[in-house]
Amino acid sequence: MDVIAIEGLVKRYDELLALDHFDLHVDQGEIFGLLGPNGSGKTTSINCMLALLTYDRGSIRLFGESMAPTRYDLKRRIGIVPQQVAVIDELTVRENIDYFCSLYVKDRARRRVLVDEAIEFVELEEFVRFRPGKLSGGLLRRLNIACGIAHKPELIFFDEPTVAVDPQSRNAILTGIQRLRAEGATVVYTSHYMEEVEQICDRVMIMDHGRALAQGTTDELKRSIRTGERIVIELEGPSGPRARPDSRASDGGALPTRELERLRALPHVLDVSLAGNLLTVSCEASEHNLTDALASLRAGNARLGRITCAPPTLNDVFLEITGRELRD
Amino acid sequence: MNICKRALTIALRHPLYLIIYIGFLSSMGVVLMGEAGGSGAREATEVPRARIVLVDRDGSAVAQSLEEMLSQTDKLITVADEPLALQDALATDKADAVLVIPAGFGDALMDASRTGGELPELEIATGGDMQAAALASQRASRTASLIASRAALMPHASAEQVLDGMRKLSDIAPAVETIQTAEESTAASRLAFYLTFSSYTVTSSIVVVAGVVLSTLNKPDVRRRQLAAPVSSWRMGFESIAGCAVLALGVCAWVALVGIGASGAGALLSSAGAQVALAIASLCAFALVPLSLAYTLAQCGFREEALNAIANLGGMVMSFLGGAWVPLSLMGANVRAVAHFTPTFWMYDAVTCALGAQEVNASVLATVGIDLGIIALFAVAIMSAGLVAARLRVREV
Repeated sequence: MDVIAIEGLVKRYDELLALDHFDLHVDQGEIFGLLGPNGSGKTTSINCMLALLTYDRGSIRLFGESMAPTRYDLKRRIGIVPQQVAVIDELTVRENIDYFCSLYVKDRARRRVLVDEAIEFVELEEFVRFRPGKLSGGLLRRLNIACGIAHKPELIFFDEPTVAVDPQSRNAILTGIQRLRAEGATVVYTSHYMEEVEQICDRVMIMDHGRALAQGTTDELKRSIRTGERIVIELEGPSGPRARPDSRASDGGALPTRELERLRALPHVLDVSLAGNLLTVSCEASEHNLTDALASLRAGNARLGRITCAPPTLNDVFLEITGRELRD
Repeated sequence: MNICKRALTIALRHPLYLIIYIGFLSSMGVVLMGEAGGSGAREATEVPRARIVLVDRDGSAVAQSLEEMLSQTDKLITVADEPLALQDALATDKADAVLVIPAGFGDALMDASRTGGELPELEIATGGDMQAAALASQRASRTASLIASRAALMPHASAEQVLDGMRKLSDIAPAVETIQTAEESTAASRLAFYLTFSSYTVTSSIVVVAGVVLSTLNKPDVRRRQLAAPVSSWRMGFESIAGCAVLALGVCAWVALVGIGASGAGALLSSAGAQVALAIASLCAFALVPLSLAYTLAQCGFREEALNAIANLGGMVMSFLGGAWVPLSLMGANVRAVAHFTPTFWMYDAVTCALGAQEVNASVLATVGIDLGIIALFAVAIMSAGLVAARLRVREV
């Protein structure tokens, strides 16, 4: 069953088209990633789903029912972890979680149990009497998450929860999200960090300018582009006696232009770029890409350092679809 | 209910504001009440005597009569009629004023009084003590004016006859009776002063503390989280205001207890409990104004620093216009007219009416009721602006 079903959503801010006929379907129990650069419409789409924003056209159905600002029955089943830490500075960790949980759960005894579970989930047991001002950035993020999930929602929106978080806390947050899914929650996760999305999301939608550019599993998305392999070769110093100044690449690289051209002419090679001493060769999926490229370079007496060979990333997917880097 | 409870928790987590705005300002009110109210009726009242150098350049009977009369009320000092000596008397503080009766003054006064012309004026130079000099000058002018009036009434009498009659009149001393005011009446006036001053305490404390609570709950990210929850924004606002209303009630209770205790109005509670209750009810009604102001400011996005500034300046201006610092009767007509547009004026009116009444009758209730109604209207008007701001902000996520 679709937990979220959005059809043709259009949202305008005066002249700016924030969402342009946006469609989204999220299945129950999956972690769905919304990937896109800042301003691509991720947060706007979440705000529309939560009925915090009105929209100009389209429909939003959550749990099979139409969403509206007064659909408190639906809101009760949803949790939100906003991008900015949204807690009350004057209240302690426990009081904050209890306060936000009380907006969903009236029964005090049940709430006490839920708050304890949330504290345990984000491992803030030692800090329950602390006020937010005394917590580190990572602990604050964990508190932010606890406030959003304490009432055990069935659908949770995580809006860039790892921005400005140290790697250790980031891993803890990502592991926590996977645990929530394991407990039955459906998660919508927005980020512009492709590694995170690749790590935890079952399906991913790539957004830009309010539009869904592509969606599917990470493998499906990677297969959907021409790039099948990326070879990165570190060149060691000038490439031998034949490397004369007049024959060098205009970008100042350590390889003569004609050898770059020779690489480009190889079968399955899509693009060759040289940045400093790093040579990147993008190829279609093929069995002999690496051996062909190395043979070509050796023929030109290039001195080679480290060589890595990797499948395409979501950044490659974004680059190929939009023509620019994801973090532009 | 938890929203209301947490609103109070947030307020209590700002103890410094509670100490400064409630504790310190109410103590300040007590001190000012002591200064203004005094400790009770004085045993006797002494009319201040000014030291006057009287220079008689006229030598007429009128001038002599003036000198006689002034010597009864002021202390006359003899100084040579030379400019340097006269200036020296004032400069060295030997005298408070120099009064010169110019030549021809007596005749000119008699003529003017009988022909309806303009009365001649005495020449006066004042020293450092302006108040004593002004008083002496006023007495001299008044005496001259009395002689002129009597001369006008006796058109055919000689100057001696007129002055003789004046002397007889001046010998009649007015009968002075000292009325001992009841201790309750003094306590009531002290309490009235204190409660009027407390408009500042109540305004600043509620605007700051309730404003901080409401602006905290209104921070954009917190608000977004709250709006996503299954609670209507109406209920959210209602519960947070309810929390602040409890806080406002607490402030009023504290102010009232301190006021009753410090003014010695405890005895009033048994003899004039209804009057005291009405005065405190006026204070509570007045608290609605800063409460609605705090709500509006929070909805408009004002934060802690701005709230402090507005509360202090607004509180001072409002309490000033309510007559807390200087009695309204001493202010100009324009200021009094402006004061009518502040809720503190109506609170002052209600408090003084309630505590000044011998008994609570329909007339007192009507006056206080109208005052409280006007105060409530102020609160409603301000709250309406806040509700509009809140409505507009709901759309900004």
